[in-house]
Amino acid sequence: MDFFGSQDNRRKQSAILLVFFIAAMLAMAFVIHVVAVFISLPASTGIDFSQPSKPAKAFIILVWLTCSFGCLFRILDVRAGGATLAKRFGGVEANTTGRYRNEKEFVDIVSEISVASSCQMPRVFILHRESAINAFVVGGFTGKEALVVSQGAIEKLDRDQLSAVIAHEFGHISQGDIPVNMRLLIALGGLNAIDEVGKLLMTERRDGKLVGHPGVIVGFVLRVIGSIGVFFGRLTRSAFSRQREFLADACAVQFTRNPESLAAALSVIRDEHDEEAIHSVHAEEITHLCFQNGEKVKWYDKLFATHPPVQKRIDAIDPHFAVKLRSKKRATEKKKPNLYRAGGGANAVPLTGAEPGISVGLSDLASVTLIDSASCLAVLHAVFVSDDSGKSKLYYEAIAFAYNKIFAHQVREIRETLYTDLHSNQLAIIDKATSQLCDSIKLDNRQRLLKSLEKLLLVEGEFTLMNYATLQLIRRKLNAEFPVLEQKVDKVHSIAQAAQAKSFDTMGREFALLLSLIVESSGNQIEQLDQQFANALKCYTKEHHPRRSAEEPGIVKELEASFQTLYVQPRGIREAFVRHCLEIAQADGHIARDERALLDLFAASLKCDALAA
Amino acid sequence: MGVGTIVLIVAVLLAAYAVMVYNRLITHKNRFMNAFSQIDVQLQRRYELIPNLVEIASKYVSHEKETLTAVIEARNTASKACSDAAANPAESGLVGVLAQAEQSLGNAMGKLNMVMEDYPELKADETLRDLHDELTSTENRVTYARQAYSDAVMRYNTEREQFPAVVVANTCNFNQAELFEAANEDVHKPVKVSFG
Repeated sequence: MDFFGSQDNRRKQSAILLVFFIAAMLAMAFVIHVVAVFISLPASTGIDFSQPSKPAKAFIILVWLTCSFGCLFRILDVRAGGATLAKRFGGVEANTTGRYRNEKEFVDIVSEISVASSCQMPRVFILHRESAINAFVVGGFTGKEALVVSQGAIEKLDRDQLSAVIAHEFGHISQGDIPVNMRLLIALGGLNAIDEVGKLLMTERRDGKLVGHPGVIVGFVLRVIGSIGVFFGRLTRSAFSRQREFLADACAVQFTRNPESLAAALSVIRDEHDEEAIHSVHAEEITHLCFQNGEKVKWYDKLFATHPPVQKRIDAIDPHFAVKLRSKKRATEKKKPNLYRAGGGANAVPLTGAEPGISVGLSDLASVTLIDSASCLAVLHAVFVSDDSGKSKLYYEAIAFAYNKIFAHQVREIRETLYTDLHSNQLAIIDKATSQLCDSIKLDNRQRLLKSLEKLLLVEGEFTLMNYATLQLIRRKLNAEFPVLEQKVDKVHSIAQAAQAKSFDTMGREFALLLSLIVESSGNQIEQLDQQFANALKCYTKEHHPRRSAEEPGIVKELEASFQTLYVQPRGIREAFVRHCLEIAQADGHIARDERALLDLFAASLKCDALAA
Repeated sequence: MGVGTIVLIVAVLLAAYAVMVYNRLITHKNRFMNAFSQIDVQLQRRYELIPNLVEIASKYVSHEKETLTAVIEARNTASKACSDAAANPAESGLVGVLAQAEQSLGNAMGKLNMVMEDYPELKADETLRDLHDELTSTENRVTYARQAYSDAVMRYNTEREQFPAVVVANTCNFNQAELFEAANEDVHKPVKVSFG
């Protein structure tokens, strides 16, 4: 990457954004002025913008006073200095004689990079209870910055990758982002204050009724102005911050001259995108300071994201990173014969051989929690708890009805204890729980358990694709046969010969369905998805089929029907198909969790166990 | 407005421009000098660590006198070249001499490391291991400092060689800055390895 050119380019764009921010503030001032003149109409003689009436003047002064007080409080915050802020966010100062693992190495790296960037060595802090990979710099105006790095980053990244992440933060320092960021923080504080005062004035009386006294009207107008201001403020902050991230990435490459390790660090983050970017209670405040802010999926989230998508950052650093990574992996794989495949059996964790980035071991917390069958049973139920609070409430109620309240409570508890594990390490948890249950309860009871799980899931309405995939996985791990499929297959057996005679073209619809699901799970842009899907389908049929989506109603039933059709095909075809799906999922160099779950489902449903393991 | 006034105005503008360019050159020059002092700091640290390392090593490998003396000699030469160059990094030639001395010190250290490989009890020495870690980190720092220096030199030279600035630079004696590279061609040749 040409980091000098890239830095120049980004700097220009940042300047434009700063101008935009100032323009937005001026526009705000204008809006406040106009609004003030209009709401003071009843109290004045006529509309005169150049000389507002007394109440209008009072209102304008009120708004600006509020704004300045808001700013003042933030300034005091920032003045307190980087170290104070870092400590408030939970950081513990690190030094070379530290008692924590890798602490000395970390401090060494920071001092190395400070040499590379010709910056002063900042004070260094570690967030000890933070398992996510993140880092940020806070600082006052005095130039005394504090660098804060999460324990997760120190543990999960190797020396080169950690250097790259720290170099990125030094990029922010050397580009003078910290004062700008702090100023943005202050400006947002001012705008927030207008909104807060509006809220205060509009506070409902004890009897819950709003009274139409002038204070409420003023409060309402303040809230409107404040919200608009905060909206535009955040929008600019995010756009500005996104630009600076690219700039800091370019600087990181300049300091370390090692684009690959920065890309590798980002790809580690991408592979565990189920994890929150940062768990701290101050998360919202500091999101634009961090090294990453997690993956955003919805368009409005993307608009407010303070960081560009990780994949875009990797592409900017090295567009061919995925290819390089794959060839490197292939080279190392040749040296070591596949360790994972040798394990085989129900305990082998599927596909891990292909993706070392995903952690497979259970965390200590999870292994301690899952010691008896009761908790294993509860965790299998907890897997399906939705993040949507309405749905999860319904689900807990259904559990309480089907079993009893104590069990529902237990499920809720286990979900809260193992929250991060359930998100980042679901497969390992299912693995552990099912193997324990297989040992302790009989086949009949296991089948009964599956039936009741299936019923419970129907409470939330129709199966979502992911729930369906997980359920099938549990079914397979519990060694309970596929009741639905087996039954059908028995009937179909007699006509299996006829089904086999079907040509590929007649199965186009089924292939199209499965392919579109696997393509969709990669989470790419829609145009890319269409392209990928068309390419993949070409291998199977000349007919044209529309791309399907997991969100369509009734998709799960259709999927099951497709499995039944494909299930009776010769083994070679099924295996080739699953292998093809694996290749599609690997096309971008890594397998996301959704892709893994789907692949597993496909392999299991098409009886290609050798491939699954 | 007479011709004289116009000439005067143009002259004043030109002079102001020249001053601006001059100041910018000074900024860049100071930047690369500062970057050099960073290398100097890290190299000094390295020169302090090396005798300690040799001292510990000599306890175990006393009969490898030659290698140890070679390291110390190379270290002394490099240390001297470093203080010479640090006195005036802008003077041509000095940085090259230092880079070459560094190269021979690197070679001597490489030999010492190879010798140390043969002594397991030496490798097990805890003080030595700490020292070795420290030395590795310092060497990283030297590399980074050299890199920062090269960047600063590149910016200064680009500034110096561009058109209007080059006139000011030549009249005011702004010399071309040297990259931290060995001037001698020999060191760029691949090392010959013979298995006798």
